[in-house]
Amino acid sequence: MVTLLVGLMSLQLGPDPGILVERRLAEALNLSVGDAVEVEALGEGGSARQFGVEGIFERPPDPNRISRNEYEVRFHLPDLEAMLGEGDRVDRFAVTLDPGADADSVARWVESLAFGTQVYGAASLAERSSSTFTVISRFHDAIGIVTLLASGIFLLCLMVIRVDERRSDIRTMRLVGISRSTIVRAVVLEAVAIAAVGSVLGIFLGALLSWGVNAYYAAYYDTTLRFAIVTPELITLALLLGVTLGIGAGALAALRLVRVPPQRLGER
Amino acid sequence: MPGRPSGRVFDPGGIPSRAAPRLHAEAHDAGLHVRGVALYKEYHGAGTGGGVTALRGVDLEVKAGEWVAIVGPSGCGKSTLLNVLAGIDLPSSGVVELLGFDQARLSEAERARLRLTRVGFVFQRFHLLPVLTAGENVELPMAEAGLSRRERQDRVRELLSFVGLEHRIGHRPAQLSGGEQQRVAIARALANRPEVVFADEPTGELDRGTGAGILDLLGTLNAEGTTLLTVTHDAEVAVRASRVIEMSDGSIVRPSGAEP
Amino acid sequence: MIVLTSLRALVRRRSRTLLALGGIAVSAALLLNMTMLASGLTSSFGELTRAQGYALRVTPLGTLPFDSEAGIGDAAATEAAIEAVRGVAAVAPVLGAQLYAVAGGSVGEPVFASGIDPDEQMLYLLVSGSDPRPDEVVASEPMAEAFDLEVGDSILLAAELDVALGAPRDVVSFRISGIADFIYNYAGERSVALELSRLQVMTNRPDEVSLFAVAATPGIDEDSLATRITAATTDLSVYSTRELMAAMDQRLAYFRQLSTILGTIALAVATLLVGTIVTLGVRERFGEIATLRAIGVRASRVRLAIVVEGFALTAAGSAIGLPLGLWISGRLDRILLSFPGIPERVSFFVMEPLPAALALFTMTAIGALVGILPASRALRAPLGAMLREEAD
Repeated sequence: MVTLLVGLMSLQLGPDPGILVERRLAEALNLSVGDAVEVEALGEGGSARQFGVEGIFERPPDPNRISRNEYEVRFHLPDLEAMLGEGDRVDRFAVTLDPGADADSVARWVESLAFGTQVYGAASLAERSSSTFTVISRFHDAIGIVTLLASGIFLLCLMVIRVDERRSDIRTMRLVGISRSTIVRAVVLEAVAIAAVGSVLGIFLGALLSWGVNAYYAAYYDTTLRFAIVTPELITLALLLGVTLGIGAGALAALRLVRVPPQRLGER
Repeated sequence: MPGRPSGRVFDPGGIPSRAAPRLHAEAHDAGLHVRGVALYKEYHGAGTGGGVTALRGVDLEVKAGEWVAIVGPSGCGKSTLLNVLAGIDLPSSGVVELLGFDQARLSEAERARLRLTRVGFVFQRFHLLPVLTAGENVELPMAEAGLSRRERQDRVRELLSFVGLEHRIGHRPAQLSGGEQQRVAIARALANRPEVVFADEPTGELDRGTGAGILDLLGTLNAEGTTLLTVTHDAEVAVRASRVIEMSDGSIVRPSGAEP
Repeated sequence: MIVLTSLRALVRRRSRTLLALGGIAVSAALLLNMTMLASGLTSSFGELTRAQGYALRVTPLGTLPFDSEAGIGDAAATEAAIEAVRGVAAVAPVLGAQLYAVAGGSVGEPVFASGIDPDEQMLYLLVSGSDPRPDEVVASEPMAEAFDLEVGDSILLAAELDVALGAPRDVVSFRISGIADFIYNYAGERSVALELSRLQVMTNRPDEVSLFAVAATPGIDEDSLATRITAATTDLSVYSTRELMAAMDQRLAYFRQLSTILGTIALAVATLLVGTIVTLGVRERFGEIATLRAIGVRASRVRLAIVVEGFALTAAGSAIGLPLGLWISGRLDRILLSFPGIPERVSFFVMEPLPAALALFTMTAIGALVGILPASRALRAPLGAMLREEAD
């Protein structure tokens, strides 16, 4: 990308070469189709040239460019080459293949022909350009693990307190012959219920927050990109994790108490 | 009880305190420690089935140095009457004077201050703080009243010796028997040299022999001039008291002043 | 003594207290991490910018340093104009370009080349050797390791790979004059620094640079100097360190906002946890509270004891959370530093004492305050009823 200065010159429409202007730039400079603009390439030693706005386009949302968010203008290739003084030069080619063609073979063949080039298939290119988001994804996973840890401890603490409150009830049940496993099952069930309800509430809260985050960034970056998505898989994962935490917390809290002989449960 | 002058009138300066509200008793009969006139107490709300009248027009006077036992069947309003006379609860209507102070005219803080410095309370279930030792439980009211550490420690030893438990000063309540816990509770009640001690079923959780020991202690207190007001099912308590008041269904059935 | 009873109650209920401390510690650690993240990269980048003493950057209009392929033309005249501005102590020109290292049987390994003035450079710290003279280069440590280079060795560098020839074009041999730590490189980056004029010739960019780094005379205000330089030049952006950090902040808004959201969540979790512990603790000790009130302890002191209990939990948990947070931040930093193109020397998580102290203080204060509501409820309850309930 080179930096271009785009200036609105006049409303005249003449035989100037045409360009397409991104919607945000058009709004910023109050441009519409038919306007003439002056474009200058900085640092290229060239002078300003005149172009006509032939169209206004919406830039496809691209997560790789969201934080930079510079404006985009599209030229006919010879016009840009002439303005940059670069001669017969491009940054990349995009190639479509005939149906059935083997992409890898074509890639290696092109590389052998065009010395110094590298050829990427769509999947490989997507992977390479997603490296930033792979890092962000790992970061989010790490934060998620820390949050899960805090939640797990919270739930365990809560269950320990709840079970402690019912010491005398548990003592009575043990003395009249109710088995340890029955008591543990009852406590686990309670913990799972708490965790399940909490998870459902958390999912609603998460969905609400996601909506808020997307709305905020849509305005902030003027983009249709979605930053947070709640999928059925995520909901299932959240519920599974919540229930698992509940089982663990309930079991630990209950086992802590049932291993004490019932006659000692009255002691404080 | 060692060291307590008899017939002392309330003196805010007598017990050093950090921020003692100055309470000025209305002019009253100095010989009358507790007085209740036309006391009613009603409870409303969930679980009361529309309203419960615990006290129905109770009149009662307790002179200085008396030991009054309030007896009656369960649910007759004995404990409610005790709580109202001690200033723990306020009556729905009627007048309560404790050591000359009309309870309705005192703020919650002032009533608490009065309970701390001039009244002792002994509970049926001892109500010792489980995280404090016997000595610390006895020390607690003195610390709250502002006594110095040295004074508190001396008095704790004195009081625990009085109840025969000086050797258990460092033990937690869980390490004490029921009778020992009640003795510690009595020592706590005496911490700030009260003129009146209210005791709600002091022997209710104890066996006969242990209960007798507690009654001996209370008897000694009364003999030294402390006014006692006890609620009880225990016939032994009634025998020891100088006066017995019988209640039924929120009212006094044996009029106050009548001898047992 | 009343406060003592509350603190001892915490010790007595060891399991729940330890769990509560664990939960609060993790929440405090997360809150600390988010505080460190909020401005970590920006302030770290700011420090890096000031390294070597060159605090200002002059770039093509509307760009950040090495943000695009745009360059500054008439570089010599521009440099002279900047040097003439009052308060400028030194100007270091930098031209960035991609060259190809030809070694062994390779067709040309891309390396990042910086054209510099060896007398006024801010890109590297020499580890061995000396600054480059004409036909010499300084190589980065990863470059030296990858190509097995030492001071005195030679390396072949080409500006272009000729597609038609199928070979690098205009290959030039350079002597390695020094090995250096390139302070703005990302981890493992292979790069070289050579004389500016040499690189301009190789890349056919006469009298062009990518940016100027400017050192201010001691005592001169950077922002004012930036304004004066802007006035003395045309079609250029001039950034003081503060402005550069602000621009970076704008680019990294995502992390700042993420840290706010997660920090708030951490606070909420800790508040819920402490609030639950204290509320349930007060409910369990209704009888004790009734006893204290019955024997004449002031309500304010009972309330204070409950508040101190909440405070003690969160203060102790936060104290444990501090080293835990620092440890976690190291792990998280390593994850984020694997972003492509991030200089190795920056850090996403930077411990700034004041914001960190404020965050942990806020958590502790909230922990203390959550006890007020359950305490008030317990103190408002009818005393007689509480005593009866305890007796039953």
